[in-house]
Amino acid sequence: MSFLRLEHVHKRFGSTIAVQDFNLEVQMGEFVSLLGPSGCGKTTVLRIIAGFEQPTAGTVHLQDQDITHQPPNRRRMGMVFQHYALFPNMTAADNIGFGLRVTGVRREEIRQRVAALLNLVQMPDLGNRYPHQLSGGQQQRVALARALAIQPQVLLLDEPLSALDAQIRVELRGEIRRIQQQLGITTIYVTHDQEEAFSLSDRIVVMNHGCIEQVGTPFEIYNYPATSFVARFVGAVNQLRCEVLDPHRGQLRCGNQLVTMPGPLALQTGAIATIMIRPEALQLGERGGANRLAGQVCAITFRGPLVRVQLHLDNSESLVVDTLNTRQLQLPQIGDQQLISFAPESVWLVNGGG
Amino acid sequence: MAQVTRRPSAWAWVWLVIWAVFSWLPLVATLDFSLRARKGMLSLKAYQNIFADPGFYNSLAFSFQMALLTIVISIFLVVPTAYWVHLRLRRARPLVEFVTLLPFVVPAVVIAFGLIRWYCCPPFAFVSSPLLLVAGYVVLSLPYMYRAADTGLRAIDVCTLTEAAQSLGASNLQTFFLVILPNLRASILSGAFLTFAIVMGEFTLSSLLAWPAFGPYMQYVGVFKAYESAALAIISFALTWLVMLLMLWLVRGWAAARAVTAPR
Ligand SMILES: Nc1ncnc2c1ncn2[C@@H]1O[C@H](COP(=O)(O)OP(=O)(O)O)[C@@H](O)[C@H]1O
Ligand SMILES: [Mg+2]
Repeated sequence: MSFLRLEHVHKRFGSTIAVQDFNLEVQMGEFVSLLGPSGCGKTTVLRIIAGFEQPTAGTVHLQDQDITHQPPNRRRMGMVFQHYALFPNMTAADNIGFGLRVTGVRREEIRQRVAALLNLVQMPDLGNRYPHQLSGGQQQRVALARALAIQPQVLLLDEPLSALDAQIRVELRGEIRRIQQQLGITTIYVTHDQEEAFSLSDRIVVMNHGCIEQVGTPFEIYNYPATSFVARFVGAVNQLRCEVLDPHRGQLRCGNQLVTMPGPLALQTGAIATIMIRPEALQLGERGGANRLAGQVCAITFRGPLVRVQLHLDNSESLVVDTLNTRQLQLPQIGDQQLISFAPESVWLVNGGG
Repeated sequence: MAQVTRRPSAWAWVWLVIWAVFSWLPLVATLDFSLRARKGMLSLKAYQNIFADPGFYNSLAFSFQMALLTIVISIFLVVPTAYWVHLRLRRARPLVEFVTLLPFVVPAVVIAFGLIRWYCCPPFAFVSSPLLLVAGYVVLSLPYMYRAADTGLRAIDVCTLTEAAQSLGASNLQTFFLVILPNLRASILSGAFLTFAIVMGEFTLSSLLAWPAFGPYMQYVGVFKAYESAALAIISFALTWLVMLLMLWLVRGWAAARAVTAPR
């Protein structure tokens, strides 16, 4: 039985369709990310779960209870906003205690719980500061503690790190995951940053234009993308147009070169298909894997741990290869002819067919 | 910001002098005039006369009460309305702003006669109640109070703060009184001060509705007693400043109370 369940949720704003037929089941204690480009409807889904928006159609269930029309202040869902949204007239401690205060918890108990939460977010001595006396990262920690104070059934976070510096972002990301696992709290996390989604989530929901493109573990999303959109959104990917030679044995022709992939393919001989390969699945030179392609090196880019080599194939398509940056690495020169190799298993067809 | 210290140019001095003359000369002249109630010497006679007149205290007390009532009512009417407009009726904002500016367009005389005509006879026979006067004052103070609340609301993220409070379980009232209102204190105070100043000096409404307010009293003194009227102008000027200082002190007090609890 799922803990939180969204069924056929639609949302339109006037003529804009923000969310379309959204279905999702979240287990208790699970960390689920909504990932997608800006404007794809992530925030809207989160706000529907929180109760700030009513879906145009569809239902939201929490523990098998229909909460679609329950007002937000009865849902016990902690929310963390992109720009912290701390109450400027209250200290950090009063912010954290606010949810307890409005529900009539005794003063002494509030004080204790607030102290424990300040410890949890590693700010034991800053409870008396006002929001304007705290850095962005500290403010977001307070916001997190405030959302956790009400012991929410679900924790909702809307791009909580996107207003912070890169370094703080990575640090706080780790903290969020640590706290989430420590408390075993069911969490929905909205982000447009695939790295964030990968490093935090048990499962990722990739969205585009208000629709779900794919739901899966980070491993599934990255290695078995269901659509070309997902493949491109969660990492770099090479796309090559090929002609099917033998659908049973998975043989295709790319320009004048042969590419093999796992068969059988649901395509006719002679059909045109687009195949995809991740750059890190390609290797420079004649290495493992049955596939070989030759091309001319046209660019080499250093990206820290990786080096990206770009090649032109003979049919004017281009291909990038990511290779691990090591001291022993022998790089080709620009203009060189270069052979690359890859395994048939690393190749897949766009949208399962094309 | 980098501070550039350099000598003020001659023009700066010229403007300063013009400003000083423009704003202070009438006051100085009034003060001087008010001290010449006795021929050929400076004296406080005009002030003594004013302070000896029970009409002064009565009208001052009456207007003071009306001002306080007006402030309370207009805060209770305007602030929640402005909040609601910010939160739910963003598109109606220009309309609401236009409505709140109407008292600038409609002359007070028109408002007064409107009130009299509408409320003169049953079922709305309120002409003899001071509440009608307060209602008129609330209308007159609308532009100031609304502007002040609006400015305060623009300075905070009303929608997100409201949602944050709601997600933590706060009711609408709790959200308004614990989260929104405390952040509007300074701007509400400035609106209250403007309202106070308007009510204390208001003449048309109170005189047409026949109330012994401070405005008609000043007018009455002005017509019959020249020196006393100058003294009265100085007194009301001083009173205004006193109230302003009081309010500044209140705001400072809040700020200080915050600062005391802030660092450990
Ligand atoms: N209150 C609203 N009124 C009108 N359109 C809205 C509103 N909120 C969101 N939208 C529209 O719905 C779409 C999805 O928005 P949103 O959920 O905020 O996307 P995301 O969070 O993924 O960037 C966008 O096209 C946006 O313009
Ligand atoms: Mg968003």
